Amino acid sequence: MQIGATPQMSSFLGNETAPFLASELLSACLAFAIAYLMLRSFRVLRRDYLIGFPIGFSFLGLSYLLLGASYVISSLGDEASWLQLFIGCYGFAFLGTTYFLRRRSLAHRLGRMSNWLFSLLVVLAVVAVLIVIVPPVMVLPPHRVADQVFRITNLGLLAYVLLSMYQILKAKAYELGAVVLAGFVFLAIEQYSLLLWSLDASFWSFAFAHLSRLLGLGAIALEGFHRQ
Amino acid sequence: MREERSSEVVRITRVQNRVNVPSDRFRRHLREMEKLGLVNFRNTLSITIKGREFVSEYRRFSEFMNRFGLV
Repeated sequence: MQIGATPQMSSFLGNETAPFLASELLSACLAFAIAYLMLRSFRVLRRDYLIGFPIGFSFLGLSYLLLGASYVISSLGDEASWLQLFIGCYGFAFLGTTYFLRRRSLAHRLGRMSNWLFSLLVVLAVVAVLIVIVPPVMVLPPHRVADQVFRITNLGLLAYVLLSMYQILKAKAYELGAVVLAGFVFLAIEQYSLLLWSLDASFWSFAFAHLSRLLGLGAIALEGFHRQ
Repeated sequence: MREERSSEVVRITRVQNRVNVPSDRFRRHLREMEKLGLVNFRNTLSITIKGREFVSEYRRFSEFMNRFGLV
């Protein structure tokens, strides 16, 4: 099996892509399942800020799917790995924005802000995709450097989500699920492991990132389907 | 409305007092809910089967999003 992802990936994964491909596909399925549940919740509850969750998890699912596809379709290579970085980051940005808007709505300062913020994020996502797909006029930075920047950004966004959840837990205003909290902690561990992997290219960082992601998404999905 | 019903039918003023919404707005909401098939609204008020299903679904999803600290 030929690997079409980043050169860094090709150098150490060799032909052992099957487990990672399976992991990407399973992650994508879990993320889309969570997105579906969130969409149903949004349609019933009709709170504007809740739309960020289905969009966020759909973006995450799409990014896992793209990375999985780049393992097997070598022609996708560079574009797929860049898109995966952008889309994954947007996924976490939508999740973070949802918590930000929830806090604003509690303070009765939401107004039309949710529409503006989500529209802005969608426009930025389209621009980011165009930058990658349309032959760029400007020179993109090396993928490895960009990867580290995106991982740090994702960690920042997940830290904000976890901080918001911690404040909710402290205020005891909601019956926050420990499993959900653990799920987001695992997603943060995944991003940290991927950051380590982009620095040292160690096989175990990459494998641990996959395991953490599956545990994180699995925990969130379990909570969702258990409640249905 | 669920709390107020002793039988299947409740008086409109009782529900209106509980939800604390001005009369004209309350009746507008009721008309909308009737159009959606959630309540029967004449001189008295009663919840339909579809309305009951919606309430149960709302509670379920509300509890689900509560686990995320979002509702």
